Amino acid sequence: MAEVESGGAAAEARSEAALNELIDLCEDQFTKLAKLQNDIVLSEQDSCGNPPDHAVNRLMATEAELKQWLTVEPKLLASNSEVLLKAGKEEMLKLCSELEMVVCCQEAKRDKLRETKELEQKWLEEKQQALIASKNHLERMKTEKGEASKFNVLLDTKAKIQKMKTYQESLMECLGDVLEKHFPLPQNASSTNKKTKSNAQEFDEDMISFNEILELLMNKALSTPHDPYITIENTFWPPYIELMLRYGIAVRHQENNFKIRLETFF
Amino acid sequence: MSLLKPFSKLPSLNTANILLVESEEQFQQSLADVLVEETAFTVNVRLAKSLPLPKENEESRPRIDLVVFIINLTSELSFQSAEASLKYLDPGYLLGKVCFMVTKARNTSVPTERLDAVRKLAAVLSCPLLFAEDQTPDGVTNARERLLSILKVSAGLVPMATALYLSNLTRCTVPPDIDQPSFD
Amino acid sequence: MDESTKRLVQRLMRRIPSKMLKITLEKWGRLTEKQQREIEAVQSKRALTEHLLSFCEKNELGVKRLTELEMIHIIDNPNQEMWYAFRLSDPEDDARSVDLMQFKEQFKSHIRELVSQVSVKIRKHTDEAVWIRIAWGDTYSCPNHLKPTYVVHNLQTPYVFVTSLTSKKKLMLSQALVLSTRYQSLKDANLSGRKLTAIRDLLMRQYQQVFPTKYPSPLTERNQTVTNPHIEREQAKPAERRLQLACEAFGVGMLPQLQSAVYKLETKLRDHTDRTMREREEPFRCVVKFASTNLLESLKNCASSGIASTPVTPLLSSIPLKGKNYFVITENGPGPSSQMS
Repeated sequence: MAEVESGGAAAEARSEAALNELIDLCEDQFTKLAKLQNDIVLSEQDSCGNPPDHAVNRLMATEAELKQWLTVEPKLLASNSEVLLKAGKEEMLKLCSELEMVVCCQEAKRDKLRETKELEQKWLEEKQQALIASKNHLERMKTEKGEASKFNVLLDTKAKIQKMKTYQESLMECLGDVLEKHFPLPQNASSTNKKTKSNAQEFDEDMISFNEILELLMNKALSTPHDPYITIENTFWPPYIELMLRYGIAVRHQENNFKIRLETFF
Repeated sequence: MSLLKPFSKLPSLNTANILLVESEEQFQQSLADVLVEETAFTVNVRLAKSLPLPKENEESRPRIDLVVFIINLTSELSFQSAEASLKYLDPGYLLGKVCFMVTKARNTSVPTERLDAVRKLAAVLSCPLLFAEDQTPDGVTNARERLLSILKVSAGLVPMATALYLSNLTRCTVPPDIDQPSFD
Repeated sequence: MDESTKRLVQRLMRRIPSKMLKITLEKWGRLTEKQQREIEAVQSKRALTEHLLSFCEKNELGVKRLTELEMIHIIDNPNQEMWYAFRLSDPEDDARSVDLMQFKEQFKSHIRELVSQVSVKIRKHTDEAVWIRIAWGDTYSCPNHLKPTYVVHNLQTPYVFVTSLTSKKKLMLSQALVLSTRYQSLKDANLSGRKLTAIRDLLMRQYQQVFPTKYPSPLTERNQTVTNPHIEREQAKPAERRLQLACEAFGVGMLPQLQSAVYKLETKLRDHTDRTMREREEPFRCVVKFASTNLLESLKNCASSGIASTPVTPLLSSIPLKGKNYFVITENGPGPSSQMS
């Protein structure tokens, strides 16, 4: 019991010594600080000339600081072992917790990077597949192109011409049908109501159909484009002439009333 | 012209003093309220609308370890006021004891020229430029954390680190293409 | 029931919000209890209108009764109109002794002399104000009840508040008012707003005002909240001073709600960089309009936060001081107060 007590007393005495030493140290530092403060106040008063440029100022200060760090000698914080032990322990603990935080941070970062990497790899795979597919396509296109020859072009054109011909034929047929149905020969029309018009009009027996009139006009327009006019003859039924003029199918000659031509549709 | 000087007074034990300058006096109050909650050391906050500070407070004012200019990007007046206040600051502060804090940078009505101007100003003075969200409690807490870590260094509470050293690492730099017209 | 009465009912139903209809109809008191209950059960506006139309027909309620309903609604909700303030000036000796009955009789007879076809309804409201509803007609047409003019006047005060009015009708109204209140003229007070109570409070100074004082006012004490000892405002004193000046200019507490202030400038442009503008003989005319939901509050905030300089420029402080929100600023006077007319 006595031993423990004396041990406690000894520890207390040591702590006392440590405390005293620390206080002394602090006081030393404080007097140093006060002195520096005085120096600063004094130096501030005489440096009232124009201040140097900010950047230069900064450079000078940084250089001064660097020089100081280079010249400073590492020295013991305090001579008392207890103080050192305590300070060291504190520092270690602090360092430990900080390092733990760093580890946490790094792990999180690593996980994030790993995730990103996986995503990127997936993306890369997809892109590579797309590349292969497009390469294959290119290859196929190239072989197809080689096979194509002049003969093919000829056949192609022929087929197109054939197609156009059949189309034109169908158009002509259609026109013929329409004309036959809606523009019959005048003889037929007059024969049905002969009673009313019997003495009104005398028709030539060789009256030609609307179809034929159109054909004449077309042929003339194509064969002699410089003179597309044809003379109106007795074989043309006058109402059809009138119809063509009214609906803009045919145009009269400007000087000769008996001549007409096909309207320039093209 | 009374300059605010960084070393005119002796520091006190375990204490850091910060001066928040904001012409609108909006964000500084909420920021101050969270700054003083720090328990590891005492934080004294001084609030000001602009510099210079009134002479009658000179006696009671502690040594200011860090000056923060809060600039609301939606207001040209806010920027101009900060610019004008800088004249009343001792050049000694520019060696790591000044930082700029920009608010409302997300606002769509902010012209990009103003942000560029603030960045240029911070870069010319080699000061750090912080962005803060002043509307949410989270934003205020984040701003507090950032300011406290700078404040700790500039008040000399971190062994082996000085304000100048830190600011050389954290100062704002202007991207080289800031003056070129953008084509997008 | 004729077409115009029907239209009046429809218009009334459009103006009165559904949730206020019940109370308004109760106050009106022209429907039987059964009808009242029936109305309460109906939801849609269209059906409500149909019901009211049929009840009016059944109870033989004409235009006269319907205008009563409209008046009840307007008196309860005066903030839906634009109100313009006028000021009576030069009272006669007996202006103080005009009482309600006398005013009523006089006003009705005077306005009927001026306009042959006019329908006037006068009601006294609880807050001492006399409410007048005038439906105007001309020589050949009946009074138009769809576009009535409302006039609010507090007896024994020189203020009159009027809703929309053409200049010709204004002339007749002013004559009738001047004669029946025993004043000599009626002038435009250059104040308008959507809140009748606000412009009345502003003119009659019925808001909390602050007067300049050398001693610390209770204002500063009120604003000192308990703050953390570690937070110190460096410029607390100037801020307090700004607040004090702003309060002196605009008042404290709930300020009257104005929606706009208009300044018509007819001054020369004093811009030294622009020669052509400086040498012009005629004034440079422009209109500056400030608009806000609560203009005085906004201006006060501008001044107390330092956005507007303090002491507050007379241009702004004249709004509460003179009770106006329309100013014409001309070049002729040296002082700022005489510049404003």
